[in-house]
Amino acid sequence: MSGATTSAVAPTRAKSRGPWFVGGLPGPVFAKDVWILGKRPSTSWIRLVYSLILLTVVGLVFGASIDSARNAYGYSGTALALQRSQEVAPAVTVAIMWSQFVMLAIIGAAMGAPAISDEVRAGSLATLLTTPLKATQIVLGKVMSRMVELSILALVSLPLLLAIRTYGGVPATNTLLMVGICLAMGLLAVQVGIFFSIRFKRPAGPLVLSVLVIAVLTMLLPGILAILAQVPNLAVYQRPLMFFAALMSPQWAMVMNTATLMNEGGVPGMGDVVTQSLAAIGVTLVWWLIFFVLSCLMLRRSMRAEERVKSRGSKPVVAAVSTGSAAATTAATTGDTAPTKPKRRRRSGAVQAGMSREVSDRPILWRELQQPMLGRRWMAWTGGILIGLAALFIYYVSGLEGVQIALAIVSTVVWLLFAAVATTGCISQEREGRTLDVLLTTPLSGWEIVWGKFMGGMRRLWIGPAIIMLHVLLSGCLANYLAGPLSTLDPFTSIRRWQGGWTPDVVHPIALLMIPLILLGPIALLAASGVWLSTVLKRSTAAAICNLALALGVWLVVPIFLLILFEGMLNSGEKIVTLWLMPNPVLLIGSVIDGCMRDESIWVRQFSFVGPDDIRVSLPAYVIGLCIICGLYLGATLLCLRLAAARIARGTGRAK
Amino acid sequence: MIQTRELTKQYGGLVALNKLTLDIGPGEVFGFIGPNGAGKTTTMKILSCLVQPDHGSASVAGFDIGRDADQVRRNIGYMPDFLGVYDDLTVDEYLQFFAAAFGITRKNRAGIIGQVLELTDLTFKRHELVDSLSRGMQQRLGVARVLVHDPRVLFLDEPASGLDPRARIEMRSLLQELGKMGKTLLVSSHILSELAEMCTCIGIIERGTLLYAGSIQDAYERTRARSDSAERIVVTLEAQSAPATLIAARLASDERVAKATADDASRTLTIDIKHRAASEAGSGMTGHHFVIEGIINAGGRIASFQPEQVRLEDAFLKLTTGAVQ
Repeated sequence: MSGATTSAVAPTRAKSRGPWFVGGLPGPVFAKDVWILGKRPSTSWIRLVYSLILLTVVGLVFGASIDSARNAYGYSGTALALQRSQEVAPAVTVAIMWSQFVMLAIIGAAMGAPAISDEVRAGSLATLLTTPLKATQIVLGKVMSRMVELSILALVSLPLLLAIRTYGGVPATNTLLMVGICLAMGLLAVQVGIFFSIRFKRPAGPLVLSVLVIAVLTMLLPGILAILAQVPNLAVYQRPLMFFAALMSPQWAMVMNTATLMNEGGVPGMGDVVTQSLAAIGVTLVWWLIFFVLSCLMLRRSMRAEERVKSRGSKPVVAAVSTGSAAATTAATTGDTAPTKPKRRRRSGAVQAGMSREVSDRPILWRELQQPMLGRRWMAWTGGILIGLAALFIYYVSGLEGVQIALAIVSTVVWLLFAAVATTGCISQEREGRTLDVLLTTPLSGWEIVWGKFMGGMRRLWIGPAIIMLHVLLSGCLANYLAGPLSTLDPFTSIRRWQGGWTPDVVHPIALLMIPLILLGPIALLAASGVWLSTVLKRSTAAAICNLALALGVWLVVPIFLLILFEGMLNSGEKIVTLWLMPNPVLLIGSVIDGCMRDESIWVRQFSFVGPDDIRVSLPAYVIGLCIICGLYLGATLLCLRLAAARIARGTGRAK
Repeated sequence: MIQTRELTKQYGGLVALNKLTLDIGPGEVFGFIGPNGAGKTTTMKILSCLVQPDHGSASVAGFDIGRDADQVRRNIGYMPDFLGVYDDLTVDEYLQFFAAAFGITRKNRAGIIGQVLELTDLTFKRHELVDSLSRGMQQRLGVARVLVHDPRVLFLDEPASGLDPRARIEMRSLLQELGKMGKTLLVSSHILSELAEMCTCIGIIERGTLLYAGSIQDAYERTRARSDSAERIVVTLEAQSAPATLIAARLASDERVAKATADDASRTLTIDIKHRAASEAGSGMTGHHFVIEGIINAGGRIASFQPEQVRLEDAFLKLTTGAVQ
């Protein structure tokens, strides 16, 4: 009998461990995650979409490059065909590498963001923490398993790169360096995602924070160093500052490799491309190590707290850390009825436990309005202080020259990123928290549910435009102050100066009216599409990624595609590209700030709709155009909300 | 109050519900029994208008679940097997939230919430965060929630799951109270003894097929009918009594006894009575007189005499064994 049992169990265990290298050094967490990630349908989708994007980019670049090569060399002869291949090869390699660079970073963050929070929500982390596994083993297992997936994605382009190497003669060194940079960036993205995943109960927050932190580490910090290098007082430190700026930025290493591949002879004065690339990989790995250690420390803290609680025989700490329905899940697994008194949390508004607020007749909207505006209080404060310090630094260093547009554009991009994930969890989180069924047994219509969720999201999203407007206002006052201290004491003088527009770096206050007009539509659309995707997709991470992809697709990928198609291949159709670019909020913000900064009367200024076929119009025409664009966005917003309401109504027989 | 006709639901190739036909009258407390994945939750979700059936029809409180889903929702309260709660609300806010969702005016909410909290014994937790409640209290809060709009029908999916013995007893008495209030209850549970105590009717479902629906007494009768013997009696003899094996042999010769076994060490007799004898004698002790007489006549001195009751677990096992392939 026992022999039969052993023989029945042993093969199953052997099978579940997989190949020796899967169940080897990194431990059981690695083996489990590799196994699970490989089986998930979402992984197959990621691979498919990744390959399709890569194929499209390569196709477009190849089409555009081969066309220009044809024009240069004509059509006859094998030698010329090979010549053309050699011309095209670097451009295709660069396109592949940059696509990989961006996609592996985003996918890495998306894979890392739910790594721990999913375990917390499922209640499995509490179980995992009771095993003899160390925090380092858990974190390393999570990271390495995701790196396996990223490596598989990186391998997708390998046959093409080999072909390019063979027929196009592209130097292998640069290609390998760029692959190394891409993988290092992916590793960092995964690790940062996991780091935030330990503290968050939902993956959308870690996803956005990961992207932002990576942007700060690899773009903002090097950018600040580069700006500092330009400050006259620091001229003596210019070289080391620029050196460190270049070291800290993998993007810069990519640019150097791109320049080398495209036969532009690299970047003068910035050293050897190989050294630079290896140094960039090294710095990225140092960042990874820092986040790895931090992640391990945080997880170890949770584990120790878990042990302490276990020795006291009460509710697991993981539940207390995660809070909410996840806490209920963990409590459910323990089956306890008398938990230790939970830590009393501060809630939004003035109301604390011990008091109850009156719920309005629109309960969904009411509850959404009770949610904190910017997540946890310490995050809001930290974010606010950092933004303020960064703004002050930039004002001080640059004196506003040329940074107005850049600041407005960066703020817009960041806020659109937030808008893309702000509402993507609104329905799927109810599903994950198992409150959706209860909600759907009420007679609330689909529209009431969707509208409440949407307005809750919009309430959290008005801060972004407000910050941009505040910046315009403050920088206006600052510039007027710099122009003459007395003017700040005399508001009429300030207004006259603004009206006259004689201070070059001051944004005219009319921008304060146009900025909301530009941002309202796109933010509303992203919030609405987030709600819709949240009803369609089961997991909030998937909804967040899809909504981000939607935003990137509409405002970045499609324009690039159209540009390559019409400009590069067909040499016509500028109007179509311009038409598509007209509602692009990033370009509109740039053009509004640009138009409002010129040294002329507001009524004679020309505002442009940016594109290959630059359209310049007067202020009234521009405002009308903005109103039409805003209307179009709001129309699309309404459509998304209707789709979401219909989706909720479908299957439950409720009113839409 | 609840009617289903040939209700069928498939998930891919899996038949979750297979032509379920069921009638539950007003005021009944109907226990829904079945193993995991039998189709209990699917049935409840269909009746709560959360899932649409592939075939068949159903009505709740006189309203068709397809055509009058909104009316159905106003007349039912559904408590899922795992209660997800909004952790950022207090108990009072949580109940207000659902009261508002059911269109109860602000003026009436406080009174209603007070009543349901009193019924569920949660008044002292009224202003505590939902997240701070124990599992048992959260389950009771779930019951309070479904009562806020005073529905006529309640669907309670595993209301006692994950609760400790005390919380289970509290939950059972609460459900009994609801039954007394005239609500129609459809309760699913794995703890069959609890269902036996509070249900008027039961339904046994396995792999989507309803195997039995009717009163508990009828289920017991059927269980007895399916077994070799109608009733089993366990007798313990005193020390001065005649040997148990001797008495068992004497009893076995009686044509009304199906089987009699004995254990001299423990001085225990186990006697299985035939169906006919049980039915002729009717229920109760009168049917056992011939056994007592037989033991005494054989020189036995009875220390204890215990007819074994058919339990719901036995009924469940008997009625489901081999029923679904």
